[in-house]
Amino acid sequence: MITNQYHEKVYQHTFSNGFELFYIEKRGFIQKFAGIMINYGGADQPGDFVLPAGTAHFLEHQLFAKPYGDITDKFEQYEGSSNAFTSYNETMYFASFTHQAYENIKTLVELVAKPYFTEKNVTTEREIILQELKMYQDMPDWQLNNRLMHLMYGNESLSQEVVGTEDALDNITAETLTTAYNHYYYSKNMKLIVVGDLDFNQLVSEIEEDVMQINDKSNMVSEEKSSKIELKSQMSKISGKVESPKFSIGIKFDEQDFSVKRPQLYIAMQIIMENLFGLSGQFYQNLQSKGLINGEIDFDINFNRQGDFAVISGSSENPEETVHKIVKQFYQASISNVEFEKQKRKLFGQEIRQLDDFESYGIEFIESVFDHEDYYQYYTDIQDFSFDDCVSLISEIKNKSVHQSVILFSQNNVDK
Amino acid sequence: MTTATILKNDNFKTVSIGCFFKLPLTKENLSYLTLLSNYQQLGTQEYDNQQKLEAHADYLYAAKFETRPQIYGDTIIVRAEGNFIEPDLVTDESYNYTAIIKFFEEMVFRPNFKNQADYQLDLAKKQVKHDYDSFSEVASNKAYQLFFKEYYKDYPDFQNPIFGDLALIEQLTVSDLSSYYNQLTKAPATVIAHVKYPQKMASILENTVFEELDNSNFGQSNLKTKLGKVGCEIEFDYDYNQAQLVYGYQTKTDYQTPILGLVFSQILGGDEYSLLFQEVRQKAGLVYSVFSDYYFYNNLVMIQTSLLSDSITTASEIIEAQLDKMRHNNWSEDLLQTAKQQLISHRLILEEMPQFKVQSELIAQLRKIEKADFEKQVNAITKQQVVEFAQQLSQPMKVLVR
Repeated sequence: MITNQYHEKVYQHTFSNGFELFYIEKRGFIQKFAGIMINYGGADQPGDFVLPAGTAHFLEHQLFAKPYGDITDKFEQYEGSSNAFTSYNETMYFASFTHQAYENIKTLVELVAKPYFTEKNVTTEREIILQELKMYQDMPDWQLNNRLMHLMYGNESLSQEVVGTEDALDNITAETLTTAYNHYYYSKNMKLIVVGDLDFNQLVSEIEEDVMQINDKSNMVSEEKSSKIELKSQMSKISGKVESPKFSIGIKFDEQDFSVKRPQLYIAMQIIMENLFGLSGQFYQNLQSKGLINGEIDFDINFNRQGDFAVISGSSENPEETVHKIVKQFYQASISNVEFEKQKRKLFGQEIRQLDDFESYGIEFIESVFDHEDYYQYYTDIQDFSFDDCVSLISEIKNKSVHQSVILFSQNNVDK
Repeated sequence: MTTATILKNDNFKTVSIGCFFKLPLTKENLSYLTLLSNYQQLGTQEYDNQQKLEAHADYLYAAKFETRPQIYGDTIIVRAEGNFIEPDLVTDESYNYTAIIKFFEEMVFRPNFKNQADYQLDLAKKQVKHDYDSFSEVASNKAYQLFFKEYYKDYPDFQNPIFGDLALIEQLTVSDLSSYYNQLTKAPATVIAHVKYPQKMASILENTVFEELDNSNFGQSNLKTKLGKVGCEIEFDYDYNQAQLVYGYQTKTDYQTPILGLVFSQILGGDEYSLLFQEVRQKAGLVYSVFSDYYFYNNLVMIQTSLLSDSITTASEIIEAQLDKMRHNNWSEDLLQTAKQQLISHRLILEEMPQFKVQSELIAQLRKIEKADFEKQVNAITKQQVVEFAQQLSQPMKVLVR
């Protein structure tokens, strides 16, 4: 058990098949959160054979099917509500509940431990996933992101849409799902996080029998970066149903090229992005005063097995000029001591809020375990991060990254 | 006279505080308030531009503040809210409740109508347009907007429940906003805070303008809107990949609490066990998402889904068949029990969210009701009551956006 400076107590247990349980104690709360994260997502490929795009996400949907029906019914019987998501390198199944905690957690283990794939249930689910894909295709942000990922990663797996394509979905069968499941869903490649007010020893003993039914094998998923593409900066223009043009800029980098570990690199990138593109930054204000930006500039930083990237996006009536200015400013970025201290305080305040939200707390915590990081150390890392570290890293970031951009014009204006 | 209600925070790492003003819902009020709330986010008297204001919020450990109008039936509540990390989480002595309240007071009561006010107004108008465009670009939001525009065709005050009238907003001047703001501060108001050290907060609030607000007429018993148009079908063409289908069914106006409608909606389309989810998605495989919502103050049950054009007829038949099942008592007691358990469970989880205590207190004060035992009320609902609720629903208004 570990207690940190924010009075958060964390317990850990490894079962004999290698499956790990983490429990964050939240005394006095009725709500509980439990999630199992699989170290496998939409961009992962086995290496010795190829799975169709969208397999991880399809698997996420299909594991809810059991011989007796949909396992969601079982959660509901225990007053829980379940959900799941798939990202580039992760699949997460989770449930929130207030009562019958052990039954809900055992059901969560059953969800990942007992697949039931038939051609019939796979055919029905394929139609539902196609509807999900159509829904995304109507979203302007999806169109931008899809194009940007293709520009940055060519035909590599990171450019494949996590949901897949219509053609790829046609090629996913019960056999495909079984192959993917057997390859990725085993005890050492998944971890359970529980947040709430429970008896830890009882939790371990209650779920042990269920956990031992999870497939056990020894080979681990590779964590090698696979992106080899050499980029030349370019701008792509597409059209869609938008009132005002939108833009998205991808900054591609590789954390292995840097002199620090991921948390410090992430902190530096957060600080510089916020300082450039946040509402309190001079650069953002200049864009706004010149009428070059509508609303806020969003940014997001992603670390993945297949490649690392940041995305900067927004809306502008003159998107080409805005993109040009943003890229130029990014590669000329600097920060003053006063700005640095302000951004550090902001980052700390944003992150500390997460401890009140069981779902995002649980997800971020278990991600940090897969990344071999100490979750609470991150708060100390923010406080210990120095101005000199930041300046030095900003210089590295500028020298070790390349960019691509996409502009989404309103239909009929793509040639303007 | 004490305006503030201060609740004890035992579990959370953040302070929540809100100052709420009450006005009647009119198109004009909503338009003014949409613009004013954006305007206030862009500068105050002390921090007279957005950069200074946001920089100070960053310095206060990412203080969150927001002013926005929210509609409760025929009433607008202007929600000026702040969320701050509790000061005892950091060693910085300058960060305390006094600093928090000083900033919050500045945000609510010291709008900048002098220094570069025309520029600030121009930015606020652009922000409103951008928010409107971004909202409308999402196909399901567009369908929602079109539904309300048609449903309240005879009541323009209720037609655009999110932004008001963009044409009116475009015409407003700094002088218009300044005069309106002065009137706003005389409207019935309440202040609610949720903090770790209530006594300390109370003594700080005592010397502020928050304690001078008039909350004598804040509560009112009925907030319901007029009834809109039903019994018709309307189509729009937007060339989407997926069509958007919206149903609206009117309820009787004499329900005193939302509980029965919530249970009904939960069974019809509330969660994955619901009739709509099971029949339209799981069995027919026609949609990814289908759900129902109960709008208590609007006397309205709405169903919304996205689907391919060639599935519309089949999906519509299945949706309408589920309502028939509910009317004819052709559904199981188990479904009722599951819906009740899920509603109660969702509520218990919601009650442990940092913002809930303030929201719950606001509703209690606004409707002049005691904070009721939600679990007891939900458990008292019978199957017969749900069937009767289904039977009294009107013919729908059906809006299809292709």
